[in-house]
Amino acid sequence: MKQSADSLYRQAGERFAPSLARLARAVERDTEKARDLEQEMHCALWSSLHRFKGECALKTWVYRVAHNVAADYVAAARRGPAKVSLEDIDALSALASHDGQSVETGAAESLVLAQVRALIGALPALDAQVILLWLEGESGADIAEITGLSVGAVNVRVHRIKTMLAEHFRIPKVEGDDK
Amino acid sequence: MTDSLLAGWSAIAPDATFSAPSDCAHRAARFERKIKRRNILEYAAGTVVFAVFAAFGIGAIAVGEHAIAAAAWAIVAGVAAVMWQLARRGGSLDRLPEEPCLEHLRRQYRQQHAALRSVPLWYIGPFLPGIVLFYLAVGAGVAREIGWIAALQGLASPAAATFGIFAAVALANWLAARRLKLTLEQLERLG
Repeated sequence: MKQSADSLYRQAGERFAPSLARLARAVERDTEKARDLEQEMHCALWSSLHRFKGECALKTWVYRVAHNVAADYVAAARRGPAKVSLEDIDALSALASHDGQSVETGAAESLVLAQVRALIGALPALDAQVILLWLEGESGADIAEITGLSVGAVNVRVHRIKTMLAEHFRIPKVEGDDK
Repeated sequence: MTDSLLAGWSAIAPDATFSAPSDCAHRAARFERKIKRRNILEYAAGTVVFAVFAAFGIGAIAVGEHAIAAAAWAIVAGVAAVMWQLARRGGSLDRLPEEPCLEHLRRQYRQQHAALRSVPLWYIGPFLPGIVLFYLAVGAGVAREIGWIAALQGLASPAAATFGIFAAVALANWLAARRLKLTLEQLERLG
């Protein structure tokens, strides 16, 4: 039986509200603006769910809406440094460490956000989306469905991201990290 | 210092909740009001330019300056054409945020590319006949008094500035469109 848009919105809220909050904070440094962007994602989702027919998982729908709203927001703001692709990722080390130093000490959350912002701020939109979805723990197949990239293209990007993180952020290798 | 970006990341905003649907309804209404205000401002500015040049055209006819009047009316027609295009293009944006991100980006770039490429045609082009006519009419009037060479010398600087600005806008749009096309081609190769 088809669920109502309001019921789907409630379910999505219970499962994905923290993910969307993290996404908004990753693309917008200003707290007020990030909250506004978060609400924009919620509202785009709320109005889009009337079109949801179950062709894909609710999770896929939610992430697509949120990331597309974020991409539109970034494109409209047109700020930040010039983008580099994952192929030129070495240039990120200086950027990441510089941004990390500028964050007030003792705030682990701010440091993580600063590192993620440094990463995604320097990357093209699709690479940034892959990173953020990977951080949310999504599998290569799920990221491929959300972004529209092939599974192979996603896996190549995830591999580069993990190599880069291991080199520049001293992230310990995690068992079953290939998800 | 965090020793795990992944663990640190998932610990952010654990208590976040979705906005209430009523907030979304208010937000949609606020957005509509904002668009309405922007449209009113655009049309008001267009109407002022329209009225000024229309009055100028009527005044020129009254004093027998038919060539100047023709130029003023051509500019009025240009303003009308630009306003019509603004209304047409403003309402034709597709909004399907649930499509795959790659397709969404492609659509975004395609729309921007088409808009940038067509700006010279629909934003500058409609004004050109009126502006050219205006310079010709003024030049002819001045030439009757002091000769064509002196008239052309006097008009050269303002005409160069006017058409230079038009050319610079067209060139900037063309360059931006070319950059977007390269990005779009990269995106088309993915997925």
